[in-house]
Amino acid sequence: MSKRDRGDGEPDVEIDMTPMIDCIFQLIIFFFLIIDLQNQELEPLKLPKAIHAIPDEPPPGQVRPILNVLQDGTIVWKRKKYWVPQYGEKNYAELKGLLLYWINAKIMNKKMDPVLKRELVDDPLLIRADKWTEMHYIAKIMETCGDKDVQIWKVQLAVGEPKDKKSKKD
Amino acid sequence: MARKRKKQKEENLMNMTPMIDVTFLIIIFFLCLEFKTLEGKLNTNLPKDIGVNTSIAIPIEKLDVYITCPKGGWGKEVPDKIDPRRFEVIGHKVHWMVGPTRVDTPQELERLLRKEAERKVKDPKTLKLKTKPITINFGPGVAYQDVTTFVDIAMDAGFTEITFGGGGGTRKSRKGSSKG
Repeated sequence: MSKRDRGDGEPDVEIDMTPMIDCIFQLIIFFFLIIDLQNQELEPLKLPKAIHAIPDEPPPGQVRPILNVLQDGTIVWKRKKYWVPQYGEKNYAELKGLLLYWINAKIMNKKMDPVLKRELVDDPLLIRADKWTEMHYIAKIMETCGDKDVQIWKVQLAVGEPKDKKSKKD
Repeated sequence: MARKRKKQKEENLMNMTPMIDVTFLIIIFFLCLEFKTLEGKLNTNLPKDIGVNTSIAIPIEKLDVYITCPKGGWGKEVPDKIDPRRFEVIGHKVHWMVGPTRVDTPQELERLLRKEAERKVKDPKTLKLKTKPITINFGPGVAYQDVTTFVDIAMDAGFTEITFGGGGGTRKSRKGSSKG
């Protein structure tokens, strides 16, 4: 704030808006980052790189649950564990329950299949696994998806896009 | 006169606040760029016709690939420097069985897959020639990265239909050793 004498004795008050605008921008960036970090669906995993990966841009309005698979095979959805190694290889009941909940609560929608003439889940499921997760655990999720009560057939595997993808393709 | 000189001195002082603010903004921007990794996806379709079906299944010639990790081929687990909850693996080894042929290097694998991709088969639905579908099977100790690497090589070779078969358990379930 600077004061200047206008000549009649009263000071002319001017406010420097620059620092205020800068602070607002800083706050906007800070909250943007905080919101991004609070994204509960994504666990901190290191995804493998794939040249043929397509950018993950689901169309707006499309429902797509995300399952995270940690290095020891632990399956996580929204910070809650649905399978841990202590459950044993044959006990994937909690995961099946979660998949059925998505279908019954219409989080994943069904559509009539013209060939099979019955309703099948039409929304995809994204599996995010660490690059050093054993493939066996991902196969177990696929097996549960293929269960006759569940029948989720659209599965997407999350991968990282290499930075030099364009140059490799060219 | 002295007051005038003082006023001139005050006006000449540079306001550093906006410059510092902008510098911080640039630092934050570049930090975010560095840590934000791009995510992509590979689409796969699981078989739809499970259980009792009236539709007739037409047999299709396909290429079976078995990815295996030899005993002791998992490598050495080293704690991740950034995230201590995860580990990196050094010296991980796998080999591929493309039909009856065993392949040990990615270069050999690519050569073999390119050859296989040239042998087209007739699509029973459209009756047009196409590349064979591939089914990937994997043994204990095969990591997610091994499979995505294989998918990349297969797609480079010209294969488009890639499906997943079963797995052969985990390293821990492997008989005779607790670590692969």
